Amino acid sequence: MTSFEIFSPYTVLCVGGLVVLLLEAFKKHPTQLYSGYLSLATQAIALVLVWRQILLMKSGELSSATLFRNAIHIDSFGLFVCAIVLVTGLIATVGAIEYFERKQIRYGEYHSFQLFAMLGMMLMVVSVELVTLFISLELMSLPIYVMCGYRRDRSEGIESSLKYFILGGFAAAVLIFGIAHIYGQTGTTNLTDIAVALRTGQVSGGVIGNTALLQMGVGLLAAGLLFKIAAVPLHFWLPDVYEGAPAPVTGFMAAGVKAAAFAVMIKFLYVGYTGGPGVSESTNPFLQAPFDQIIVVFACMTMLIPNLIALRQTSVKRILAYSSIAHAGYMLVGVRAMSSSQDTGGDQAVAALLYYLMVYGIMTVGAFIIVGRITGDEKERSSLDSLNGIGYEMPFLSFVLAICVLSMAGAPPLAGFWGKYLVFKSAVDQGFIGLAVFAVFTSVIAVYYYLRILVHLYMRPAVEAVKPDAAGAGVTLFRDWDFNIALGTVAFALLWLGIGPVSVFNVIPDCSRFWNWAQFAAYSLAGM
Amino acid sequence: MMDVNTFGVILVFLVALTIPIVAMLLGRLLGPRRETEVKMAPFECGVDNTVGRSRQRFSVKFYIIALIFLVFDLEVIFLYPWAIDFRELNRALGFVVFIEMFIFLGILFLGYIYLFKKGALDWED
Repeated sequence: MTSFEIFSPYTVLCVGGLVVLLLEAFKKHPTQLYSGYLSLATQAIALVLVWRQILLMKSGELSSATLFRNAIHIDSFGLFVCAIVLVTGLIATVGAIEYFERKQIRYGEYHSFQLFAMLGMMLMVVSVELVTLFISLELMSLPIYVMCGYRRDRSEGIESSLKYFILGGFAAAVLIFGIAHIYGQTGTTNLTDIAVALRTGQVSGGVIGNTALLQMGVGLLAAGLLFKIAAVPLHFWLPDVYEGAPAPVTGFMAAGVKAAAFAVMIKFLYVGYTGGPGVSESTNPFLQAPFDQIIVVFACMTMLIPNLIALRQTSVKRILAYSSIAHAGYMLVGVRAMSSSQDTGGDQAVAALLYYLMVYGIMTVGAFIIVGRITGDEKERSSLDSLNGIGYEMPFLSFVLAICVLSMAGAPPLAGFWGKYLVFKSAVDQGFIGLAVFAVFTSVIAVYYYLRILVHLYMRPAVEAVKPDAAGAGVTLFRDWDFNIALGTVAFALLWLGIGPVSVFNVIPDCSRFWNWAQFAAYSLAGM
Repeated sequence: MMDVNTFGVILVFLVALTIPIVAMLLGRLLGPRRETEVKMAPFECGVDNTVGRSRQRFSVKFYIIALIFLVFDLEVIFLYPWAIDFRELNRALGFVVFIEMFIFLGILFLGYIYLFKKGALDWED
């Protein structure tokens, strides 16, 4: 494959975004449908291209490629996360088309923004150079700030957008401050060179200038990324932003931004910080640093606090927002397990994280677009009571929502269970039994508020005063078929990823083909 | 003994300080002062009402123009280092350097078409 072909998914997204933008400028009729479907087609093409590359890499016909003078390194890990971004993006786009049609918002620029944001996410996870990383992060963030405030008539939307913009800008400043320190002490922005510097204390021009400042740089960079994944105590922006943004945007943010930021964190910590599985702890003085303990503290707080807060929430969107913080906490357990790489145990943790990211992305984006559809996504109607009796009024939507919510809770036959199982198992394998027990304990707390959603859906009589948007008001090009197909895919994926491991293969964890792909993707990091 | 360069910097600084002082003094001493109502009124560019509360509404067009300016200003900032290093880059990497910059300019030009069609540059409406 030429480098043009390898880079083609990114080119396709960029060109698609520009074409959608021009389509909006030249359109005759006030509609966003064509832009929306063009965006869907673009993402589908990009997904096919990405998937083809993953398959070629799996069969050994294609090796990982370094492009743009060592700024971008495309390997199966990056491609796997790109696939996560594209899958969740496709579902979110279908949700967005329906949502904006229902709300009579005819500005299709949204779809262009989403394509650019996805391009940023995908470039972020394949970049191995810190400046490229930062630019991709901004390319991801800036459209999302706008997308949060897309309903300009609602003050919550503006609040959400402004809050995210100001705090996100601050976090980006912290991040680039960290990058500056890393560059200052090592003289390079290349991830593999930094990894060598961290491992050996040697840089190309001699030794590291000041190790304390280098540690500070790594810490600030990690803080910037922890803000993006909303780890407690850097999570305060998240509930307000998620509640105020339109529901499909919230789903897209929760799935895509977290997947991209987690992938970068995994990559940086795994390659840059721990130095891969071949390096024992004693030869790496930087592993003695307190970062591992800091991740444990972050993980524990991120699992416990949002789960406790969510118990008392009444708004469905806020409950899901807090639940998404808690999920970041479970994944941080995997990050800790990954950082302590004995033999190839780290690879298992990375593979578990990738599996979790995919599952988490699908169920989160599914849950958010359904909640947006059922409650009408207005602040006055966002309470749990607005779900009362919906289980019988909208059986299909409620069924898929129930699957998503049960999967988030970690009910066994569903994919969310295997995500949690694999991540916690990798922690146990690495000897973090206490941490794994704590994680299980907090996820038990979470079951209460997940089940509350189900109770309101199926076991409460409908309240007359609280009615969702007139059913059928959101007629899209395929008369809601696309919406239903997307939701069917969500339900099917969660069931398949959940039941597949049990029925097809009996051995865990080498259970499903998907898990094999995740493992394969994880191994590519070790070779960097 | 003072460095020649340091002395030069201080000299430039002193001259820069002296010129406006001299100019303002000359203007005050030599110029005629005929005060009319319009001349004495407080003035700020683009602001109709300079007395009273400072919080007032601006036309959103100002902000749009400022944003457009920012985009194309940054474009020029990216062009400068490219243009300065072009000879070297061209020798090292070939013609692709030329094409890459035009891809960048092309994307910005599409943005220009977009805002032109959207009427961001129409002042009267």
